[in-house]
Amino acid sequence: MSETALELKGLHKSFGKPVIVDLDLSVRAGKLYALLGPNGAGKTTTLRMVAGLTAPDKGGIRVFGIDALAEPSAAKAITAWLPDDPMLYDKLTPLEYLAFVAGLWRIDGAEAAAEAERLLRWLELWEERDTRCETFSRGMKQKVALAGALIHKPRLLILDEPLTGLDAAMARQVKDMLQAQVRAGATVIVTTHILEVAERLADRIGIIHGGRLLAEGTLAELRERAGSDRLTLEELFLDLTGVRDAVPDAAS
Amino acid sequence: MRFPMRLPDAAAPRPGSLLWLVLHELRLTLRSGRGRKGLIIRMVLVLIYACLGVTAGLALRGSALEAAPDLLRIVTAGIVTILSFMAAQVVIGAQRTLYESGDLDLLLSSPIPEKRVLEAKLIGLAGSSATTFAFLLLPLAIPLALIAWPQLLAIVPMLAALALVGASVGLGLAILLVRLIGPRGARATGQVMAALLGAMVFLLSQLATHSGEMPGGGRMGGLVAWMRETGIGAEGWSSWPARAALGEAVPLILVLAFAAALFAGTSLWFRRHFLASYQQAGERNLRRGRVRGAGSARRLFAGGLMRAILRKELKLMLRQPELIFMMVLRLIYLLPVIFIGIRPGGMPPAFIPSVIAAIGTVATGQLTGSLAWMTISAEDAPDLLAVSPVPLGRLRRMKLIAALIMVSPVALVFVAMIVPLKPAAALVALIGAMAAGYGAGMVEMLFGKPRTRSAFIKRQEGSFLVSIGGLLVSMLVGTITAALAYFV
Repeated sequence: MSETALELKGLHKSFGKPVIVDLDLSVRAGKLYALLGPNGAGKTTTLRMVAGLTAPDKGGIRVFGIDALAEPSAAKAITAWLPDDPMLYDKLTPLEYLAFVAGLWRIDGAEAAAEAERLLRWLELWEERDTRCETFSRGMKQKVALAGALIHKPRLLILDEPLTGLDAAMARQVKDMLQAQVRAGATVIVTTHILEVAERLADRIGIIHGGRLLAEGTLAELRERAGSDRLTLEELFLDLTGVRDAVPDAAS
Repeated sequence: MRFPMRLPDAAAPRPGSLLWLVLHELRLTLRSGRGRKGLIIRMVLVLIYACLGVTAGLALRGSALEAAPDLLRIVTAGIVTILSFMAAQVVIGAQRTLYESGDLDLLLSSPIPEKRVLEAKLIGLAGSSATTFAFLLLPLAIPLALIAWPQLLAIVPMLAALALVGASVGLGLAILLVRLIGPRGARATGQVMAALLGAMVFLLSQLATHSGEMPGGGRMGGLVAWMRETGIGAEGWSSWPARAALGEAVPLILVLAFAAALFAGTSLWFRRHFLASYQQAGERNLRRGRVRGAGSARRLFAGGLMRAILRKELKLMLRQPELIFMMVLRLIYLLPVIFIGIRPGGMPPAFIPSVIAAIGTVATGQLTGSLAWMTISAEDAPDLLAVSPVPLGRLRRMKLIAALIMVSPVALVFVAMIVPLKPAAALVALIGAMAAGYGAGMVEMLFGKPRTRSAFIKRQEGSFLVSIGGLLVSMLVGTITAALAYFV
């Protein structure tokens, strides 16, 4: 039995009305976990609470056994958060940005410089290392933010819609990166609307709707639960979330 | 497009026409204010101005308006002041158009001829500066003209003429800068130039007042006295603008003709060069920065958290030319107080170190307060800091120290001025300046609300109460510092 990377217990959050309701979730270390759900299901709120950006009303969050609410700094030190809107400074260059992020995570200077070069070369940004981010395309900005998320070698990597706005090549690069991180022993939690990504990459899938976890397991387990081993993840998702019934047939 | 559409159908400008585009520009200008609250404040001010105008009109009814030499000089000084502000405004507006393309990409990609788009932009820039001063002058001048002195109605065409000249000068300078020193340098230089241009009359009047020869008498006093000495503004062609503003027909026609000709000439030149400058400004986005060597890259990562924060905040500040504009402007407006403190015969020598210490302390406090607002409240990536393992309170304190370090060169200038006069007072001034900076920064840290950096650039800084709090702390520490500097 492998270590638990993330454990959520009875998590509850309300913004006037409940957004997350008694959410229990457990993600094992070294796995890629895809959290799926329709718009407004509570995916981002859940992950923001894990990243320490939003305080839960009640419940507990443990990151590799560390109580993230009692010891936020210790939990953050081993976590990386990559939202769909990159957390960047337009006026800084990629190298300057990475130096700043490395400073925040207190990475040794020499080690961080070497890692920054490795990441920028891998993301094909090395030639642009001294160009300000304000001049970059969305995909390039996302790459810089990705390098920032990886520079401190997080054990838990949380990505919210990481493929939004990326071209096919870049999306492929990110998918490869996610798998490489898992192979290297990190745990990756990702939200995505692209179900094919979850279907192909995720070890386990959680489906959340209305702030509640509706189903969780491997794709095979989810199919078994639905009583059909032929259903695609999209069909499973639509059945579980009830979205299929709500969407009128385009042809009609 | 409701603004043009509200006109009756027959009078509505044809979509895509020059008038339609100009109305679009004006609508954007009018909507760039501070929302509903700002609109109400403006309306109340207009009402107050109008009441003042009516009162003055009633009081002056029956009296004659004579173009006496001193009145002509004062009006000339006022015209130069307005013109310098208008030109500064246009430099900033033109830079925004060049660098923050806004809707220009959309307009230039439409089937409307480029020529018409650019003409509308130019008229929009002129209209924008005219609107500001129309708001300040006309509610006062028009009632006065209608009740007492009808010739003052000439202020309306005069304002239009000034807007045309201001737009021509401002735009010419903005484009010239891009052509001469390239887009990147032109942006920062343009902001400093706009600050100096806006404060030109103020600086000239201070220089004239403190040159030792001219009498004082407020901001304009020295300038008017200098004009009296040289005859400028009251005699010959230099008096035409003032005479035009006071309603003399021939000067008014000549000034209008000159403004129209200058604007037409600039418009022709503008059309030819603006697109090239716009493309040049856009190309800065495609240019690569100077590539760092390996050693330099490694140094970037050295030094730990405090240096990382200081480096980041310093770079962000230096790379935002609008901030340089604001800082230069603030320092410029401190100059007269310094002049008073150090000019020969200004005050007893024993007080001079205390006065400089007080000014330095207040200046450091104010500048640190502003910078702290930027570094602490106007963080571009708050989530990045929130997910980092460093407690937010510690990060904010470090940012405050970074702001203080950035302002310290200004404090050191004041300290250096005191050293030859009274070394012990210089030490007191240094401690006072740092204390005021830290205090004003703490006010921001404790009570400031997060806002975007663009709010600073639009001069919509943090809350009014926080600004006042910072000022009070600076002044309190400044007073204590001045007293200590006197007694040490």
